Amino acid sequence: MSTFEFPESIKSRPTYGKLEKRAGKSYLFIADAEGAEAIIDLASTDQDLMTKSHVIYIPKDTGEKYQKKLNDLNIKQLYFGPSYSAAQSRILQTFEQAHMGLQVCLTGTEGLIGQALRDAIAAGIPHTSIQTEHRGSLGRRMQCVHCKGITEDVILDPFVCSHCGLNLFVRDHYSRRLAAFQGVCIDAEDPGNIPESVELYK
Amino acid sequence: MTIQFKDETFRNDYTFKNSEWAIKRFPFPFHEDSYMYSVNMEQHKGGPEGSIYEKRFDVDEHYLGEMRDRAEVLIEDPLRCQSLPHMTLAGWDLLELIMVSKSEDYPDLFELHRKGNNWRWVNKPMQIDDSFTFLDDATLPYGPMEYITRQTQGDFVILDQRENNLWMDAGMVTTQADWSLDFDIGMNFFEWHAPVPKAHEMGIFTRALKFLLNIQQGAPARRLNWTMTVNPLLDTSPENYHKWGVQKN
Amino acid sequence: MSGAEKINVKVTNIVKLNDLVTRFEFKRTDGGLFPTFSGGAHTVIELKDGDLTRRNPYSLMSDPMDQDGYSISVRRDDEGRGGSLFLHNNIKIGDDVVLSHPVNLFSLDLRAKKHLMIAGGIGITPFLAQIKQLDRSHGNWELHYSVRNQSLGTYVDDLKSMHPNDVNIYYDDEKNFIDIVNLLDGQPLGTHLYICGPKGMIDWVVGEASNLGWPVEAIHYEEFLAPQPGKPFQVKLSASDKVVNVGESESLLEAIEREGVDAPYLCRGGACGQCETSVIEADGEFIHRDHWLEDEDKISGKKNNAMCITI
Repeated sequence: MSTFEFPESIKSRPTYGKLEKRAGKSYLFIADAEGAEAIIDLASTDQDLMTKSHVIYIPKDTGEKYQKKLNDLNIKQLYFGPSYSAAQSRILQTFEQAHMGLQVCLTGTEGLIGQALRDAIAAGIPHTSIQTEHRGSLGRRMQCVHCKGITEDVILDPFVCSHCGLNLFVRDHYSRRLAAFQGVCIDAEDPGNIPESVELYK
Repeated sequence: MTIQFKDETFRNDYTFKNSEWAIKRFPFPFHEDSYMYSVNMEQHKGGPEGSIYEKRFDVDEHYLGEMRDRAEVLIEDPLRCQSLPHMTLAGWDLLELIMVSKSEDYPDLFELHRKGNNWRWVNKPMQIDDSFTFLDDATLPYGPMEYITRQTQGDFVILDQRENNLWMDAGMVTTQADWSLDFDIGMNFFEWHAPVPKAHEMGIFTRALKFLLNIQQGAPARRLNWTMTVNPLLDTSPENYHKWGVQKN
Repeated sequence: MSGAEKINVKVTNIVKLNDLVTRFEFKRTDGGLFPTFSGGAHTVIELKDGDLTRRNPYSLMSDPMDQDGYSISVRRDDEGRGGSLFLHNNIKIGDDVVLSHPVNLFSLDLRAKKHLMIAGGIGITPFLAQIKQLDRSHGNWELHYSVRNQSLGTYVDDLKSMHPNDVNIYYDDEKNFIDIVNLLDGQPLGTHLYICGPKGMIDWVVGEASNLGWPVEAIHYEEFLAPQPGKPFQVKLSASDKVVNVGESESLLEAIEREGVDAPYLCRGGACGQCETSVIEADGEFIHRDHWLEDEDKISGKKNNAMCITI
């Protein structure tokens, strides 16, 4: 099991739940890496659910680990993709053609959940009606407030912006619209004075 | 009295200075020895003649200097002014409010002529004389919110009221005390205030939201808020923090 | 301060639309412009009926951009407490009345890709203003309007002639009912649903939408609660120690206003929570008719609900 108990934080920090069955004719699951576990767990409580589901799954570095289990679930439409950005055009078209009543479930890393949520909101789905369950890595998508560039899978604090090279500290302040946490220059007041990086939540 | 508009800067050589008149009307905040923010709202129904409370949108001697600084910030970073697509109508609403208020409160500085949806706006200090069609974006050089806030002192955010909450869905923010519109746009009242220390436990935001949700048309309210800097730098944004942060030291 | 700011107006036109519904049109007595509003807003009309001051909320049906006049359409309710009857029977062209600034508790969600409107009877009024607003910005809307019969089909002819492709009318007497399940099923993602009409219709549509998995955030409805008459009772106000007798057909709010108390209010229909008050002690039974309190508050009996519908 790859679940994590997030400590309480500020009001803008996203929180996650546990996937459950709801009223609705069809389901869309978007997941990455260990997020597959949450889909498999939900499927075990309801055999019918998968027969009306479209699952978009990005294994990331879990490779083949969950592929057989997912294949065995009798999912109506199952897709394996190499990355969110590769899967994105398929995801956007799915939203474009969907009807009201579609149940959307997002599971896996915060980065995957955040990006899919951002695209679902743009398609007109209220964010509070979308189910999310976090599994796996604690790495974050970080936006550098100075250059606006996004650095993926950040696990250390402070870290270096992959675009402009500034040293940034990790904030819990989060934007749904950008699907990223905020990174701010750590040595603005005392240039060059950069503390040792520590791993998030360690 | 006629306002003497100053030619001053809020960056680099910092030629900003307050006249005697400006200092006398400044709402000096510290009636106690320590300061903590509070839910200090009151009705905005005018005030003593010449005071900052008298007019609906106050204009002072720093008007032209501040608008020039705003224009420079926007050239450098256009993301300081954003409006989500559904907020254009709200932008027109704001434009109407400011134009009507200022043309009535300062008739020697601003004029508004309306014939149905054909409007003409004259801003004498800024030497603007524009005719446009109300609700038609194509007839203004910028979107309505950007157009009018480029001519009005102070930062603006327009909040959409939905689901018993307020959502920051548009804004012109060039003189902020260290928060990013580009990051916060789209957040609700509790979310964009999340980083403010202590205030959440104090229940300040719950009370403030309840008050704001009940403000009625025709009954505006106001509250005062302060920030302190060493130099008169208006652009104390997080975007440029890596440039001005060292001034705090 | 009580309610929204007031506007002095004159009745400039009264148009009887059918047996039950009459339209009233107003202009400002000071000749000034009305405030613009957003579709779905209502105004509270203040009428002097002898010693009694009546305050009734009605949806603004006029074009939100029209600052020269406001209009409302009122359905005569012979069984009610007399507000609509008073309007129909006593108000004449040229009369002076008072309107509140607009208040909107039923606004459009402008992020919607499509606005699906369901109206029942006099529930059509807020949609008339919303449609005018949306047409100005080429918004995507569709109306399904259920009426008792042709003669009571208020504004049906206007709507059908102006919007033949977007308006659907259903006549009860022809056993023509909205096929709500098929209508809702298949709406594109991003549609918002708006319902205005009798409680039964609202409950039915909301129920079907929920069964189909529509998120609650995409469902909007408005029902003004007309207070049912009740038994007279007595109330003691703890702040002022005033004792007030509440008559059979007046609400607690109306009774204390009659006694000179300037209490806060807004919608006068049990929806906004402005006139909520705490009950310190009670002898008798509460029957809750509001939309404001949480269920746990209703059970605990500690908070009295909206005084505007406490009878």
